[in-house]
Amino acid sequence: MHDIDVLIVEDEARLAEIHAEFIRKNLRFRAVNIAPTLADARKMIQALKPHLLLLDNFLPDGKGIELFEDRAFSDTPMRAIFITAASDMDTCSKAIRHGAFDYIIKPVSYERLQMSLERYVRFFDTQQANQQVNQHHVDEMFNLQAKDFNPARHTKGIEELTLQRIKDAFIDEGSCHTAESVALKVGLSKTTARRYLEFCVETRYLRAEISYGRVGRPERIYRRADNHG
Amino acid sequence: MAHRLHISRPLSFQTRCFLLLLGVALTVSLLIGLYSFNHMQAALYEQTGARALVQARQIAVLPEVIAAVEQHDGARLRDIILPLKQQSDASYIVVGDAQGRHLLHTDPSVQPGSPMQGEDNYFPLHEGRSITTLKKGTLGLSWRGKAPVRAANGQVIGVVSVGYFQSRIDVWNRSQFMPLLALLLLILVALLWSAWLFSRGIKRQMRGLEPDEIARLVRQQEAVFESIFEGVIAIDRQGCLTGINRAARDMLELKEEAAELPGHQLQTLIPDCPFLQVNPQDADRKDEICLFRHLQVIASRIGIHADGQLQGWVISFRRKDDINTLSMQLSQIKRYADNLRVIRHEHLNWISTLSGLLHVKAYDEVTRLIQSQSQVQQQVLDTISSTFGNYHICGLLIGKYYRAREMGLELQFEQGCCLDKLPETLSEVEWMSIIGNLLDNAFEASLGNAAEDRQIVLYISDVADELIIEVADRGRGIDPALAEHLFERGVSSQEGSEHGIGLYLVSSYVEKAGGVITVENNIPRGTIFSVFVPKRRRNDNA
Repeated sequence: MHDIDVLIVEDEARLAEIHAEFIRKNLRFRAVNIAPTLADARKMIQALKPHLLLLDNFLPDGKGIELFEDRAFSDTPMRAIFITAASDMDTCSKAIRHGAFDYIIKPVSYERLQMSLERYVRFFDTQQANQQVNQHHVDEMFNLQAKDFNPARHTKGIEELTLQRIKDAFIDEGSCHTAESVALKVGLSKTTARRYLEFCVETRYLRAEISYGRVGRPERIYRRADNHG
Repeated sequence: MAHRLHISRPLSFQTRCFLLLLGVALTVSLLIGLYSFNHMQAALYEQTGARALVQARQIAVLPEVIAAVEQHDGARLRDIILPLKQQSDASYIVVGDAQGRHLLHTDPSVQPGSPMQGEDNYFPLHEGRSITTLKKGTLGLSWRGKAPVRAANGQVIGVVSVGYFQSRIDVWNRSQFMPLLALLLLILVALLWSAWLFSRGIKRQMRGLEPDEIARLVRQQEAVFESIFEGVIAIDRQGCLTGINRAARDMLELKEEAAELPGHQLQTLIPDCPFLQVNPQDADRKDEICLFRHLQVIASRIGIHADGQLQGWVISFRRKDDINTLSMQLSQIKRYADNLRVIRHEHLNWISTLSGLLHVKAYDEVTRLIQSQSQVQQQVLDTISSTFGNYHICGLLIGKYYRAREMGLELQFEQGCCLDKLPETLSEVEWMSIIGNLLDNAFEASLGNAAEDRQIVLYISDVADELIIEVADRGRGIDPALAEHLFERGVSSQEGSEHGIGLYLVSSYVEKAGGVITVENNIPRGTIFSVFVPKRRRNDNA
């Protein structure tokens, strides 16, 4: 099934041809066109209405990022994979703010590009399947576009052993701690202690409250959640 | 040609002013002089005429005179009239008979019996009426009073004429007019003098400029004022706006027209800025960071003094980010140039290596080497964008990550960071301001650190009911003296001017969202700022 149109915006003809060759290997991509300048890219977007853009930032007549600011761009369902040099992270950060589908640093890793294309195919299919958009689908699509594929993100970096040691600190009835006291007791950095404590709050083992302490500055205090009655 | 130019050149303002005043003064004094001279002359003539008439009447009714006229007795008349003439200031006294012939003339040269000159005897002789006339008589032009002399039966038998020579009246008149003339001249001189002083005073106030020069200068100053890139505001001693240029109006986003603004209190246009609350004894201030209506600016304030008196203030300001960008660009250009040289050298080495590897057909090694070039950055990008579910925050964090690298610092993301969606209690820009300002703060605090303390750790999590933002640095920590006032506007540790507004903004946004911000010391050194903001407003679920 060939149904996704791609436009490659790249002024280096040989590199563009290699990109095109690589994309054509994927059966889902139907037509692959190449625009060597920003002006050509604008015309071809108008005429061909591609689904996906492979966009290089440095072009003879301007910056690829300018396309993101076009009205034509924001009005279409077209998405862009942004390709930029490692020295140009400001542009990359701007592209992300404008909602680029993905961003690949030069020299391009074709494995990484393959991952990105596959992700786009899934995004495209979801979009096609959900013509009747409801909030659930919007969220799902949002996740596919912008986020990692790892579902259990907030348990990432939580080690059972450390967690147990933190829970031990609260073993006494009514004991309360700050991130600092836990960090000192367990031997963690304060931010790591904060992360574990908040994990405990999320799992309802602990509860957190703000205490306006001795010095008049607020402090966050953690207590066992099951002993307030 | 030069001649004509010289002539056509207009007179200076001072001369014109002087000439005008002189002209007006001269005309006025001339008119006053002329009028009073005429008036006085007419009055004198009338008085003299009346005096002559009264004397003539008095003489005409004297019984001796009537008797002497009846008898045409010239010698007797002479005895009566000459003593009277001696007592009077009249020029002459004449007595005539009913036919208008001289019976007596006080001037001995006039023969008795000669006809009276002037042909003005008709009324006294034929109608018996007294009159006053101005006629040329035997001795010249004179004012005369004429009265008929009547016999006991009422019949007119003669005429008495008392005369004053006009030349004599004019002498009197002139003698009265002289002091007036002197007074007028005196006034004129005084006027000239004050006109000169006045025009010179004006000239001095106008700083020696001609009016058209002043007009041109004012237009030029207006154009300069409007075209300055900096915002400029002028206020008077009471804090009322007297001038504001376009840049200032644009930066402050004032909707009013330029002409409407003067007269407003500056406090109402830019509220809550201590920098603008000026007292007359305050000194000038230069390059301070302040907040003008949510706009961070670098402002200077200079008093306007005239004749040693404070007249008001001029406040000039620029956007703070403009200045940051400029100074950053300047300091970075040189670094970029140096870096480019190094990079080019490395690049040549790198290509030599690739060429060598290709020559020995070590293709896997070539691929690995090339991939390693983009791998690190690609990983940072992928990590950030997969962790934080908001484009704007991702963009901000990537920017800050590389900004930290440029400053020789490292921004670390605590494991387990996650952000699905920003709470709607604040706008995206406000969230970005909170995170951005806390990070900038930490970067600055870490700048002077030893190599092992140059990390800044960021933790953002929204797993539970609250959004938590924590920024930990290992910098110099917070001066306990400042700790109490850390979030007040303009409070800053000496070196780090960024603190002044940044933390104030952070705390005001956090407060707006119903959250709390805590400040603690890091272990072993440095500071941790933690922001806890409920995902929904507290009163929603309370």
